[in-house]
Amino acid sequence: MSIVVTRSGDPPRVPLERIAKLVATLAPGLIRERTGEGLDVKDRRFKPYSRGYMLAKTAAGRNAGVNLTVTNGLLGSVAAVSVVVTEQGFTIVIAPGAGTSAAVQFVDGKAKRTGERSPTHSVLGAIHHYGRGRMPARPWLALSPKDMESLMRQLLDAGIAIPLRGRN
Amino acid sequence: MAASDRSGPVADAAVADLEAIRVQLDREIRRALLRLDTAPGEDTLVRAQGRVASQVASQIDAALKARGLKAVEGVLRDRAIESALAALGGVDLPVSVVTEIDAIVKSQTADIAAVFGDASSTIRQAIALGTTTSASLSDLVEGVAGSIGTSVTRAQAAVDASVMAAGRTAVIRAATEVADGLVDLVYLYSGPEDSRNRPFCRRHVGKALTESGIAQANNGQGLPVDAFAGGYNCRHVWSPMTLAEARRRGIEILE
Repeated sequence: MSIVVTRSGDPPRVPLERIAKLVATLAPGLIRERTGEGLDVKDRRFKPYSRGYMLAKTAAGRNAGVNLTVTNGLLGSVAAVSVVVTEQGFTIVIAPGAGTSAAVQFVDGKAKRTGERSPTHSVLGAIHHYGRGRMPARPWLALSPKDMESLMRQLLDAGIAIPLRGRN
Repeated sequence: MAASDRSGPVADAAVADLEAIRVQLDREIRRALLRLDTAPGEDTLVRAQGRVASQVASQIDAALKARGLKAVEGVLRDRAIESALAALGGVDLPVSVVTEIDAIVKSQTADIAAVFGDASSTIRQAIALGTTTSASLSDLVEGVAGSIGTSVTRAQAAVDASVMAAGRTAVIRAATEVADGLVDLVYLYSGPEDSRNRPFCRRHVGKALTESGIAQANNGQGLPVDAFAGGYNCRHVWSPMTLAEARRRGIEILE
């Protein structure tokens, strides 16, 4: 997803480049926290996990919530992967990283490393976001309305009032 | 600030690098082990070859240091730098971050040296045992390959930990720099909350720490909390947030 700002009117008090860096600093955490709380990009509960997966996950001592997390490799990798600033504004692309995590399987009440690596976090993120096969879509990679409100509030904390647009 | 796509594969590339190191080590060590077999085709280790066995073990030790430790060190630093770049959207790394990454690499290198040291002594013992019993050369070669594989897997864990540590460090330093004089930030201890959490993580997850709070925190593992959070292979990351927003959300702040 990307965050776009198009400048209008007088130049902002704080240079655009610094505002862009601040947005790039704050936004990934909002996506991580909301997803970790089990809420999708519309601030609604994610579709539940299958009963089998839920039982295996909790038996292995993991959080019962639908939070797309086992190793936290996916959510932990979310970052501003590109920040482009021009005289007209800036565009920030936020995405999971292109790295991988150790693949984990729930066996006999334990989360065991299989010795393999997961798909890249960007691929894994897309699978969760759009769903695959019997796995339902759990759209998570965007700023939800509440994330966007929080981001604007935090910019105001820094004395910055600027219109932001989120784009999936 | 320019556009960047330098966030490319981090752990993936490290995995490929380490696999290449493993293959090269395996090949070199197999070649060394063949020196123990003076009767080709019989697949038995020649006993009473104490001197040759000792030379072979030394040769393997040297290979582990030169091809293993040194090569993994290089991978570790390169991938840690990439991780920090990825965490910052590919912008130039401040010198202070590079210096901190070097410190992380140094601390992890000590762990990797221990890993290869363990492998070396395991292999030395296997050779000693093989040349004093009726073990076959193929069994020895197989066992040694297993030791190398285990070492590289352990080295991979060290690389993973360094990559995560470099990313955490870069996030905090970059956030501090951008917020300086503009707004007060805190760092939310973000990640899973489950029975796998270490006591440190259980106490901190969902709470926010100021930079001085992070500096004072002690994970009990002798590892800096800003870089390693709850310790080696910790799953938690820092999510910067304004102090005012943390207060509005009722998040406990540890100063």
